Amino acid sequence: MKILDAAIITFIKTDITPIRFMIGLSSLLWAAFSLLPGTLFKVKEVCANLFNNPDILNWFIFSEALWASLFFFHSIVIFTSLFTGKYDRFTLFADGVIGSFIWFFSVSLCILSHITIWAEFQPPAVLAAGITITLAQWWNLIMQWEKFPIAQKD
Amino acid sequence: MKRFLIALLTLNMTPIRFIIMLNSLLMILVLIFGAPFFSIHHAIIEGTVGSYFDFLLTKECWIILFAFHVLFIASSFFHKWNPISLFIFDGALGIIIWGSMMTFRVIVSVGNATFPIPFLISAGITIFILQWWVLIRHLFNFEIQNEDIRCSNHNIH
Repeated sequence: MKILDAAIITFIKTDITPIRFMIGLSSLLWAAFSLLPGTLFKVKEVCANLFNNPDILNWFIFSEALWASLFFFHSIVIFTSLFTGKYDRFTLFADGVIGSFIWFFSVSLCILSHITIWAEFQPPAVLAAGITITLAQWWNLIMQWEKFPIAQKD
Repeated sequence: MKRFLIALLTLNMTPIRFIIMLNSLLMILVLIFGAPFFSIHHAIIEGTVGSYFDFLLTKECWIILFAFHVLFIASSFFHKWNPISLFIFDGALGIIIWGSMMTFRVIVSVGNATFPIPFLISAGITIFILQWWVLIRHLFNFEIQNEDIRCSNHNIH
């Protein structure tokens, strides 16, 4: 248990500026790649795999342009926060909460889009990097929460 | 800009190295799951870039390389390796395995309309850039250490 406690303390006390820089860069590249032609975000495949109907969730899952805008907004918030050193309710929400949501949701959809039959599940190799960034984003959210807890907001 | 460069060269790299280790570990799992590595099958079936892959290692070799990378980074958190080992096995090896993956993945994708670049490549490229950052920091630390040795030798003489 001592090792676990030490690990938790290390995680909470570590300066995660490089991690936030990495997440910001990833989000910026995500938005940039959406400008390239081709279907980047396989929404229809996901819906087809999940519900046997490509159109059923189109009202729920946004267009690629809106996803790109969200990722671009996320990267701008992170870089602004990094350069100004500002942490407040807005960064907690825009960087922590929205960032966790968009990364978790997009990577989950990517995983789902590759599952047709479990026995034949073949994720793309680069999926590992996406999962890593998502985990880093959750770490970022927890650290932001530590810096700016609910009690402090009220 | 100067402040930014100083931050790049002085920030504690432990979180980044931990993330890279986690990433390599996940890559091993994904490969074990039977990932179509670099989507090589698509490329060969399409007949576009099959010849590019003749010299690439097999999947098992890549798994071993990633496993070695993970173990070396994990051990470096508990054991103080010398700067040359860190530079080669943490920095350079990471760039080779990630650079090969990312570069060839993009080569496969570009010019193949039926197989566009996936959005997740952004995460992969970021890890590749971070790996360069780790390499530069190892090089930088190595130079500082050499400078210290030169200074101490000068003082002795």
